[in-house]
Amino acid sequence: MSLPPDEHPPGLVLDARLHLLDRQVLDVDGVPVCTVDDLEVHGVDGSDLPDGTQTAFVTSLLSGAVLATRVFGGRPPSSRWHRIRWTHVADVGTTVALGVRGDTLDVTWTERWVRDRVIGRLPGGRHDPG
Amino acid sequence: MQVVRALLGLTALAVVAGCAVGSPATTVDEARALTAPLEQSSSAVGTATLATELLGDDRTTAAVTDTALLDQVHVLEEAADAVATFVPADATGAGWQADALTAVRDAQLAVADARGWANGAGSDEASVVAALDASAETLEDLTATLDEVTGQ
Amino acid sequence: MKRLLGVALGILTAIGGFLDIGDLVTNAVVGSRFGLSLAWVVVVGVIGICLFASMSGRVAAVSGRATFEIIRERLGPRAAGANLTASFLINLLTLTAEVGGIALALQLASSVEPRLWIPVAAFALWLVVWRTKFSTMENVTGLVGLTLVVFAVAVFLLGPDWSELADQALSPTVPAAEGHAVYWYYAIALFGAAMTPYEVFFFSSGAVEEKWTVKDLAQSRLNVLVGFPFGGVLSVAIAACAAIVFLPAGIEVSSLSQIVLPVALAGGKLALAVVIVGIVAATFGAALETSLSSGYTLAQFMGWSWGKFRRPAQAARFHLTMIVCILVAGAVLMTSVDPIKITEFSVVFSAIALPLTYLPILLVANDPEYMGEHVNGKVTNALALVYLVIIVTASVAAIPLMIATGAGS
Repeated sequence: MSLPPDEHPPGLVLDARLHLLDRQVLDVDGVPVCTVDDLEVHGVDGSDLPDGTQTAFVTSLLSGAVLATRVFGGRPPSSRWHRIRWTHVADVGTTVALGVRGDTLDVTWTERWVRDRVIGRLPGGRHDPG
Repeated sequence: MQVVRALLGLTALAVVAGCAVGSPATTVDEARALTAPLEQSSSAVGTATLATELLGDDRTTAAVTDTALLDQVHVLEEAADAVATFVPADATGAGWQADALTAVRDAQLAVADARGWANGAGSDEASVVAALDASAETLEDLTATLDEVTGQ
Repeated sequence: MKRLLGVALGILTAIGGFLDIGDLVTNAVVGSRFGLSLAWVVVVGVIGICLFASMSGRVAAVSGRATFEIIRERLGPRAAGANLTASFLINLLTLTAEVGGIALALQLASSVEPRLWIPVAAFALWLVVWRTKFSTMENVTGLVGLTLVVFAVAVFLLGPDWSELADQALSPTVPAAEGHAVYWYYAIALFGAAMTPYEVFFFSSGAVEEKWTVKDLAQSRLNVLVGFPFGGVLSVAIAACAAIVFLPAGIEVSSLSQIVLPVALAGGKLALAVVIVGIVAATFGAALETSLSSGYTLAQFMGWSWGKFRRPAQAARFHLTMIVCILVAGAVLMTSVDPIKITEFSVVFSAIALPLTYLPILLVANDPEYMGEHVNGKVTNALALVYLVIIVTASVAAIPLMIATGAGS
């Protein structure tokens, strides 16, 4: 009699809906980066539309315009997705912690744009509140 | 679907019924429609009297009294508008409307005069307060007459 | 000694920060029309806000997460998005009312028309949001707002017929001149004024701003449980002033200038000056809180970096949101719309929106994943359920009553 095959795939096992979606993402310094608006999931064979019969891996957290498709339905072209690669994720608790700085990520481009074009240009915008 | 239609129908009915209030049918309704702006005017004149007397006793500043009187000018304007746009059904109603309009106009005059005094223009406190009191009395009498009709 | 001062400061700012333009206007209007026969609503409202604020403060202190992050996480993007839209718009309406209140109070001090004060008030508001430290902002407006105690002093100086006031308050009846529907409409308005939802966003986000931990829970509970009831006493004092001076004279309150007249009657120019300072501080403080709340709710929903403890450049979208909201509020007021009318609508819509924030907070306060051992106790939950019923009833009844009574006219 042989042991049943090990069905647990390597890596963190998560209920994506329960533990990831809509969680706050914090960077390595604890600064809020975004909320997990959606996930990019690949099957073990590398297909990007796993049908549920095979084990799937979360490859990226998505944020930005994909939020609209969560609310209203549909699927934006993948060229419009802003990804945080799963390799950047350090920990998953009540928040998702990253191991990198939020500033360097694609998803924070609106923050940088508003900072560089508007807020940073107003007097006192780059100083601590006194 | 039928529930939705029923609800829509009820809503439409409610809206129509709500609009119908604007055009009073009976004498009692007419009297009631005029009472509201008259009470509003009495409230404005009462406030104006209080604000004026407080300034006379040196208990408020000119700025506060001026603002209070200005606010009452706006209230009276609203009341005058309500009376002027009222459509009477018969001669009795028309008579009440004319009386009410005169009373509200007098109140406007008295409050405007008080505001002039508060800002240092002409007349004296006694005559200003007397005018306000007279206006308050007229408004009260008229309201009492109408109240007899509505039976309140 | 320092600790005692800290406790006292917390309580005093909670009292001074309790009142805003909604409380001032609604209490005075109700006092002039119904006497103290609606004072019981203030009691119900104060217990409600104590329960609600201490729950949201505890959630923030224990989990380190503010209200809207959790609402989004628990309800998902659709339900939370609808909740955000409603809460954000009502908060904007309240902000508009507060800025209008500042302008009206400054008009009382200067007799310069409010439209000229609105840009000044909006700019001052932004400047404080932009540059001042969170704790300084809270302490200054709270302590100066304490001057509204003058309303309570005025009640004594007016020398009212106490037995009549007690009779109105303790055995409430609907006055003959008013209908039952109007009475209940104002009951809901008063409830909404006491329980304004923005207080909860502000309270929970403020806990994060001031980096509260479990150790600060006792202090925060004390601030709320002592400070808010005293704030409620001031609310009733405002209603009592109006009930003593205006109710017998048949005067109906419809402007801020009327609200200060009983104080002038009781205490003369000095009391008048004090009350005007108090109203400016209360409305300015509430305008700050609502401006910040607009940034907090949106930033927390979207997961943006937020907080006054960061430099504006490090919370750029948060600050941009507040700037836009302040500009919108100013622009709306520049159309010469009556701020008192806006206030009356804002308190009723606050009552309508209450379940939207109350229910998620209640759920999370019972969630061990966030709260660990600090989940709600049995007594808190029993009380919370009673309030859930009250809040939902008020919310559902508000719009039909508003239509039936022509918004209380």
